[in-house]
Amino acid sequence: MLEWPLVFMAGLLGSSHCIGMCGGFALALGSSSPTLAANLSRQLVYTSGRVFTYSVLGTLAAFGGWRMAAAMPRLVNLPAVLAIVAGGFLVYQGLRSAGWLGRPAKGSASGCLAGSIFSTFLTSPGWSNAFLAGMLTGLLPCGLLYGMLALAASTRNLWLGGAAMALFGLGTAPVMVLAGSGGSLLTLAGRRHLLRIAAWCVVLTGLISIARGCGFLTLEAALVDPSRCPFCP
Amino acid sequence: MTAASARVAVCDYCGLPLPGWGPEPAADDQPRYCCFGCKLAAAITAERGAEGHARSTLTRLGLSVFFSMNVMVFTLVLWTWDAPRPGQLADNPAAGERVAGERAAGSDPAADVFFQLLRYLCLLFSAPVLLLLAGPLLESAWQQLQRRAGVTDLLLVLGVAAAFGYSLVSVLRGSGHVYFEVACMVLVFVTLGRWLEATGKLKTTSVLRSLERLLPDRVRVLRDGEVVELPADQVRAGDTLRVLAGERIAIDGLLVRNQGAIDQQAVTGESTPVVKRPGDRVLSGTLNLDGDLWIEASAAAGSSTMQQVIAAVEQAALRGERYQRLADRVAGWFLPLVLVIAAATFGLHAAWHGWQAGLLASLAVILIACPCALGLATPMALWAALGRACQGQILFRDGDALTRLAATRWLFLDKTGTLTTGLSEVEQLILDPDTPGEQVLQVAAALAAGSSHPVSAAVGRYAARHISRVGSAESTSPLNPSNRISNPCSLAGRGVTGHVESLDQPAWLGSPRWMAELGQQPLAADNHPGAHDDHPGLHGPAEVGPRDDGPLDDHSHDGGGELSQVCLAWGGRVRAVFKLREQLRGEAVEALAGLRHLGCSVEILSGDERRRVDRLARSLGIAAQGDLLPDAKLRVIEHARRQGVVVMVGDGINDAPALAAADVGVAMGSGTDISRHSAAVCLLGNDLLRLPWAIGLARQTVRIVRWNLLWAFGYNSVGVLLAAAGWLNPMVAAAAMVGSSVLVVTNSLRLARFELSPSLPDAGPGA
Repeated sequence: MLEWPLVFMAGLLGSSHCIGMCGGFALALGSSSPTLAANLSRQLVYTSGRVFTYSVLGTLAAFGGWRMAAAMPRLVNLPAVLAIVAGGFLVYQGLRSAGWLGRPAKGSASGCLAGSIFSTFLTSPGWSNAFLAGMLTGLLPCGLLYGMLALAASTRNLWLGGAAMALFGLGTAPVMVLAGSGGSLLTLAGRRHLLRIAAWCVVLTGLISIARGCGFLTLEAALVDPSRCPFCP
Repeated sequence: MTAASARVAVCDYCGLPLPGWGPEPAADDQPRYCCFGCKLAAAITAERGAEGHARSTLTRLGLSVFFSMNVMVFTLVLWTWDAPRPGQLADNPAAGERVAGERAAGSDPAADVFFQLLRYLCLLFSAPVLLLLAGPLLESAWQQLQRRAGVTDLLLVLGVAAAFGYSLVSVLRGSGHVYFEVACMVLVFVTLGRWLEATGKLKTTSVLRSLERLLPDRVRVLRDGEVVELPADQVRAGDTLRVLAGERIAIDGLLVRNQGAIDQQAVTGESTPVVKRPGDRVLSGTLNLDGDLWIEASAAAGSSTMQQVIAAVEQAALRGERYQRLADRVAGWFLPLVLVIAAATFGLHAAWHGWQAGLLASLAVILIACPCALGLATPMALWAALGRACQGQILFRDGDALTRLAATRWLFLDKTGTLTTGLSEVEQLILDPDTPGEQVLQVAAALAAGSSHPVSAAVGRYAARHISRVGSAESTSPLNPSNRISNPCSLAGRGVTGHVESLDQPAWLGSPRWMAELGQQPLAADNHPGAHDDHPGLHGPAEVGPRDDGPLDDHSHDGGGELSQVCLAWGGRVRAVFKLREQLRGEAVEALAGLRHLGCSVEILSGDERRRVDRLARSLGIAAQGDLLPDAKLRVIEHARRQGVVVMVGDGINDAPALAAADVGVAMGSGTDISRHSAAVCLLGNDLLRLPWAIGLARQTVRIVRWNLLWAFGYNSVGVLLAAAGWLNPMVAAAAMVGSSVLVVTNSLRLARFELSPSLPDAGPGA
């Protein structure tokens, strides 16, 4: 159904382009930890909060996709449209981070009202606060996330949608944990290299999603169960 | 402390004024908050300050979000489990939610067990949300009831409790709908929304708090010959304070020892430091750059300039402005109306679809109509604008002035002290050949001391400067104490007079016209060889124009770059003529261009001689009326008011009647003393460019207020209709409420970032 490895890869490599937004949070989170081990576990808890939110969002998106598909079963082939929309989103994001469509805007949550919530959670000690900070981070607007959610919506299955987003979230974990632990294991050149690979990986995921959607569109007649059509006997 | 400068009661978190509360602290010393959100936010802030609070308010909120998200997922699974057939959904999407959570009997038993398990999980995860968040909301509802501020919170709590209670019974019975997700989401959204509002309010008041924080908490005070450090609020008028270099001055006062450069930017916006010498006034909030200053406090703690500014802004915010009063009036009948609609919604839906449907629909009505956005629409914008204005060195004493300023198309400007620098300098002194210069200066200094008028001040300064010069050559005592004046008296439009003891006769300092009225014989010739001339090269003969207007009248002593005359006379003869020059303000041309760019027509109203006023007006390309006595000015303004909103800009003290007659009176350069007059708007600095800026800010404020109100009214009306029709899930209503409030707050906060130094359009030549 889904390109599971690609979803994971999109998270893994795509996350490096999101570090501009979420990396700062991860760093702020780690700043109150005395040791590397404490910081690392705090980062893991933070990441699990994010993965939790992504899964919930994926479930919601899948539910939305299911409801929409149920509401207009024949008129529009919704999964295909969603897959294409998701692909478009991802391609756009990928090209943006690859530098093809101008520099991505530097997002910052500190300017908005929600910023105070984040800073409060990020700097408060305790596991629950780290988890909650991660949970809220997962709600931040992010183009990559929207693309993935559209993908999750196209599954029309709560479990699949949730799992896809969880996988995506897990994919983002390694880079974010590394960024938050302050371990700049990669050189600047290496990071730039990784960034480029990540961007193209996101583009690839998007293209596959679009191709899949187009495939659905042409296979429409064969795939759709005639018993679900309210207009056909 | 006067009533005008009295501080108003403010919320202990966001600093917004609390209507209906006295300024005195609460009897039980409990902190006071304007809303549930502020209380919540204050709790969070306080707990962050204290160490080791594992279960903080914030964690409670966060955990509730976590549990609610779980409940949401379980509910989604329940909804997909036994969804209605697609055909039913297509006919009526809302029906999908109504039947959700209820499962047709007689299907797979294993699935049945899983289904029940999910319902129990929903219960398990939503119970903590109720425990964590309903308590504070209930408390807020109780306070709302006590203050007779409405019943919305109570209804919200009741709705949530009913949704939860019904779902609980359904789970225990094993059949029936569950609405756990509604209860959780409503609680979470309401709490989050209130907190965000409080955070927004805090941001709008941050400017004023930063002003207040400028004042040091502790000061060095001379007590019984020793310098002791005391809290600033214990300073009394008359205390001597020592302020070291680099410290801010806490209290208004007179410099009594040493001198130093003072940075007054925080108060007047003036970026160049001013050197203050003993006898000069220093202002609270200004920064002592390099001197070891000894200052005699002229005001007690709490009544210094900075605090008066803050108090005045608080008063203005409390009184609100007309849009706010409109919103309050509407809210006054909106709330009861909503209650009626909610009750009707409950009744009708309960009759048609069962009482759960009625409960959900009426809960949605209450949520969507909760007039948060309506209540926030104007105060937030107003407060943000007042704070921003303060940052731009403009004090609005009343919110209505802001609205009126935005509507203005007519500006009348006074000339002296407004378009020109009011602080004219004496450039030339022409002496009567038979009167000793020393005596003239002594008498002039003594008379000038009896008036605070800028021209008297200029004469006084000139005399003081030259007495020491003349005195060192001719006499041992620079200022003769026998030159005391008894019965000093200043006559508006004429000058000052008094009985000079050393002469043993009255003397007059004032306009040539007054001298003529008094029958004092004028000087024989203007350019007498005995003249002191400070700047011989600065004035050509063309600029030396005779004038018959006096210095101490209502700002008629002016002239753009021209010389004005002040005569000193006693014993039937004019003894000396002081010639003064004043300059057009450097930024006047640019400011006028800015005003024109805003579509305002500008006219000069001056008591000065028409010819001189006209010449200045022509060079500036604006209309002018000269030769206006104060009551003529009033008539002009009254007449103009019939055509629209009129703004009068002038010197706060001498133009007071004209300022009061206009729709908006703008007092210039009142940074030194805002308590002496009551113009609705004070330019704390002397920068004319602030005038177009203030109008721009006012217009932007009114735009934002109107937009906010339009949004709040539109959103509430449409929302209530949808909710009453039963088309709005309470969760959606709660989320929409948060969104609406955040929108209004964010929109208002744009004012707090209003460009402080806008680029004005190019001022053309002569513009």
